[in-house]
Amino acid sequence: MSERVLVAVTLVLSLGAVFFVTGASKRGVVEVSVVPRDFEGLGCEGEVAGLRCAPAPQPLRPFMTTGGRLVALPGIFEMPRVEQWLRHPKEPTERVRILCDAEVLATGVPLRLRFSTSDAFGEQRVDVASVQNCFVR
Amino acid sequence: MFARLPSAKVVLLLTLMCGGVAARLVNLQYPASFIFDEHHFVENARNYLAHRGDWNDHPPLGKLVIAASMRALGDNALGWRLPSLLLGLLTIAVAGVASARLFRSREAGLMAAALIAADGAFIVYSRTALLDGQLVFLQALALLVATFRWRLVTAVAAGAVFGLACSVKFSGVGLLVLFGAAMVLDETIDWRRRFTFALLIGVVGVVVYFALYALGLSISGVAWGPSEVWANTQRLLQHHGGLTDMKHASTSGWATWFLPLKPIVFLREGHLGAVRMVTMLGNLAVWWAASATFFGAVTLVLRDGTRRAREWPHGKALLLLLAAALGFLAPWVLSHRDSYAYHYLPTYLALVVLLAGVLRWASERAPKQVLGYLCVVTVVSALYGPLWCAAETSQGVVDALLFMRSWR
Repeated sequence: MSERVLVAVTLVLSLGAVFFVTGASKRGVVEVSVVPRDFEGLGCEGEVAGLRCAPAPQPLRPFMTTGGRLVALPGIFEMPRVEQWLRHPKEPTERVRILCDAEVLATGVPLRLRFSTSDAFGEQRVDVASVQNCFVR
Repeated sequence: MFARLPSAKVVLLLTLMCGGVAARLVNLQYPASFIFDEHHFVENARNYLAHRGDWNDHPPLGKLVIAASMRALGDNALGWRLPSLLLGLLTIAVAGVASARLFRSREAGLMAAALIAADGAFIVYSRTALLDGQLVFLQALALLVATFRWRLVTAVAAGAVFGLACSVKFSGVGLLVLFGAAMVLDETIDWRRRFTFALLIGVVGVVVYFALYALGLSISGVAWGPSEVWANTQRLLQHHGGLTDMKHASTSGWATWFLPLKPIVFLREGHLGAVRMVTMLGNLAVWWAASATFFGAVTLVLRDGTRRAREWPHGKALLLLLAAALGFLAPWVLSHRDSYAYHYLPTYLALVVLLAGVLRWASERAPKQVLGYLCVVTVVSALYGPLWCAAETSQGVVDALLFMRSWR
């Protein structure tokens, strides 16, 4: 019986190890680069991982990270410190980097996106993350 | 009620096997682009499909196999990698049967299959469109052939496997050491028949090699006679003979493979703090135990000599597996050719089968310790599994698991 207990403990430990190693990836820092007009231009249609595109209090928008990956993040421009910059940019075309703590909610999900008001919405696969503690660098 | 359940050890071995199969399947098509050296082989598989020349420096068979899969499934990640997956799964089964026959024990077979299934190096080469997984499969097949009594059909089969291995990579020539040892250890045949069988292995091997090379040349739309095969073979051998500077960042000397010092990182991607990584670093509990088994076995054989070693319980199996291991190690020990950690894989397969035999022997004397060892193997597989199949993790976890700087 003790052998069976040992094996059972091993299996539980192994499952825990897999969850620990893969679960560790859910949180990180995301960095995106934006200009003021992105507030209007970046948009999507629909809902994913419980987050909604505009109209919504904290709408989901697509961003290209500084690492070159497409990601949809909610309410970036509605975060207090980002909103403050958006109200008073140094110049209308000022480009800034925004850093946030992020938690990945879904990866590679299809979503209809656009990157400027003149663009049509088109479906692309995107990672989705919730964000907090955003600040402008 | 509990008496009817399988033993704890069997449950663990089956878990290792199922986990190993799952790790070969998860994210198989990720990334959808090439990783590590896949471009060498997939691009030349494309060349074969388009009847163009092969510019790669290995014989055609490995790329022809990939081309056949791409023709059936399309030019996509699944089409490129399916042959490696199927051969990787077959390696588990064939090596398991070979081990069971060598050690006359189903448990030894189950252990070999489980350890191979749960090892990262074999997992990674079962998921990528590379040639070394094919060579590992042929090593397993050669081991199985070598477990049969030597007759005409055995020699023909051995010759065919030898020819196939050399048609994938020239280092397949190492199988001759295994087959030579197998014939010498079979005391039911005399030296005249051994000589005949050796000749037959050579003839069949050369015929298979020339036929497959000629097939590759004919598909490429160029002259494919024996003289063309010979000329191409000479050209490739000259090319390999010149690769001796060891300047590539991934090169590693054969003596470092037992640790290993420089396993190759196939993929490294970061996003949102998440890291996806594929490393050919094996299961350390298996790798280090296999290395210890190798050095222990070599020491014992050197001390007692091969004649006395034959008389040990399963002594012939041990000598056969050492020959299989040394056959693929010898080219790198005896030459200055640039070498990489993946050149060790056929040797490693033989050593894992030897380790399985040792564990089987030990489980009669110290069953709890063997069970404890298998528990460690299981947990190590679970910890490193995500790094073998491109699952997302964090940089902190990667740094902790790949604790040697040269592993990252």
